[in-house]
Amino acid sequence: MSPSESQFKIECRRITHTFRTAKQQETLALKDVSLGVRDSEFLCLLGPSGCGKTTLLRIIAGLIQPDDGVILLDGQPSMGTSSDKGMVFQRDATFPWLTVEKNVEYGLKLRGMSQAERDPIVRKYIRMVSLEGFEKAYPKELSGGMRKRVDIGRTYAYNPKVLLMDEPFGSLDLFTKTRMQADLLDLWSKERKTVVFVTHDLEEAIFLADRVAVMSKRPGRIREIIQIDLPRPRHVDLKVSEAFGAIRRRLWEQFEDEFGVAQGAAEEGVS
Amino acid sequence: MQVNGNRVAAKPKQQQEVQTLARKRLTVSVVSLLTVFLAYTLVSNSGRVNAVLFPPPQAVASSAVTLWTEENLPIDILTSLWRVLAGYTAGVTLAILLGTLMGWFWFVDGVFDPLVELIRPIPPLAYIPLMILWFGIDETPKLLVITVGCFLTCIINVVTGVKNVPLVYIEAARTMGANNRQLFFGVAMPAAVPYILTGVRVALGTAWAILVASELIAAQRGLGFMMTNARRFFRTDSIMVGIICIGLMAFTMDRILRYVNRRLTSWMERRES
Repeated sequence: MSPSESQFKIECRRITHTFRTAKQQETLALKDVSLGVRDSEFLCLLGPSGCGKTTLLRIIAGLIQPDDGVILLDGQPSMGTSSDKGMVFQRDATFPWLTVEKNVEYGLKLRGMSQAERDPIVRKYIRMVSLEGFEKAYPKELSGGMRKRVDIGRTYAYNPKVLLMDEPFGSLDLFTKTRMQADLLDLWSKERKTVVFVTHDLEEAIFLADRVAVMSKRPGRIREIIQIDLPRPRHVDLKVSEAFGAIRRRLWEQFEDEFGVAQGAAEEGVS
Repeated sequence: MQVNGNRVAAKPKQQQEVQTLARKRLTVSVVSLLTVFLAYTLVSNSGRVNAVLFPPPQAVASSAVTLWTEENLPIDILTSLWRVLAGYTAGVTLAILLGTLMGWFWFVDGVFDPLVELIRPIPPLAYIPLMILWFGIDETPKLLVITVGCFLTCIINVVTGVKNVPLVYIEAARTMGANNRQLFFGVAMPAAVPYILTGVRVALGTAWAILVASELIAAQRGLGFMMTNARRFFRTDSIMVGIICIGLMAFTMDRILRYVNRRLTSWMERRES
């Protein structure tokens, strides 16, 4: 199959990657990973820490060059970073020396847009991430959840083709996290970008995704892809519904089967 | 959001508390200063200490008037100030230019790091004798020693600052499509500003220290020269005038830098108000 025949928005073809530490130790992180993400799809990459899901996402983003394999965006090889691939990091990546407004504006400035072109876009996305009134605030004046909003607004504002999210809500408390998930779905329903969302949180994956790709133990592969047929728009109440519980059980069995969480807690990190 | 509402409401009150605390601190500092001054005045006027070694404030004041009106104190002050400003500006500018490049480009770092590390442990004053032989005893050696001293104290901070820019900022900018030039000027530089300003402030102390030392050794004008001269004639009061002049100027310049620092890094999280 030639590159242009890809029917996916993002396609990972046979990605293999090994980490080498200073002491010449080698860790095979990913082996022959292939994954296709459809246009306008919300795909969650699920797995425990250390399974290589973040590595795969960083390879898609172009922040890591894999040893082998290719990333296709709209059927074209896309191996480096580019403004087509927006990324939201787990760590706080808002620039502390810029105000909320200037942070959201940053990507647009890089594209050489004039002030007159930028202003309405910045206003629109600050509104979409519910940060009106905080335009002139510096990140230090905001809570962790609000900084994440800045981050998401900044990434949406410069309009990348796809959105890569690396456990963006991982450091937030349960309440803030739940609210951010609902708000993200709201934002996504307005501008349906293709999203790849990395998480280790089962419920988060089910709540957000159209499909959940469960990763295997290291070396990471895609173990199974599960279609989440829950109706949209999804409301937080969904999390306590029976349908949700059923999917949760199915996913948990997958997890249990692959990682043996219940009996093998002591083995964690050994592989 | 409720949280946001609380935050906005809480702000003026917090600011008020901070202001009261700052005012209290200022009062304590002023009282501390006055106490020391008063104690010195009492002791030096008590007759129990040798007034030639410990001149009372009124003697220092009258000496200051004489020095100012009859012995060219203004010229000494201006000469020293010029030397500090010129040497300091040159040293710090060089340090910022070279330091940012060293922090960013491994090649520049590889070339200059061994050289800087080689001369950094040597106190700049040790170069004075060599400088005098090379350049004589006019302005050049003094300015050069101050420049080198400021450069060396400042550059480590600059290099550290640029090297310590959190990777996540660089990666975020790269995924947004920033090129190398945009990364350097738009991310690395602003993120390193707090470190750079620390270096700039520390170097100011170095500048004054080296200035006085170099003027003590070889000069025909300047505050250091005036003080060496006064020592020969046992004029402790004149020495005190010199010390006070240097102290006031160094203090003023540090305050200016502090102000600039606070303006440029108001975005930083800090405990101190």
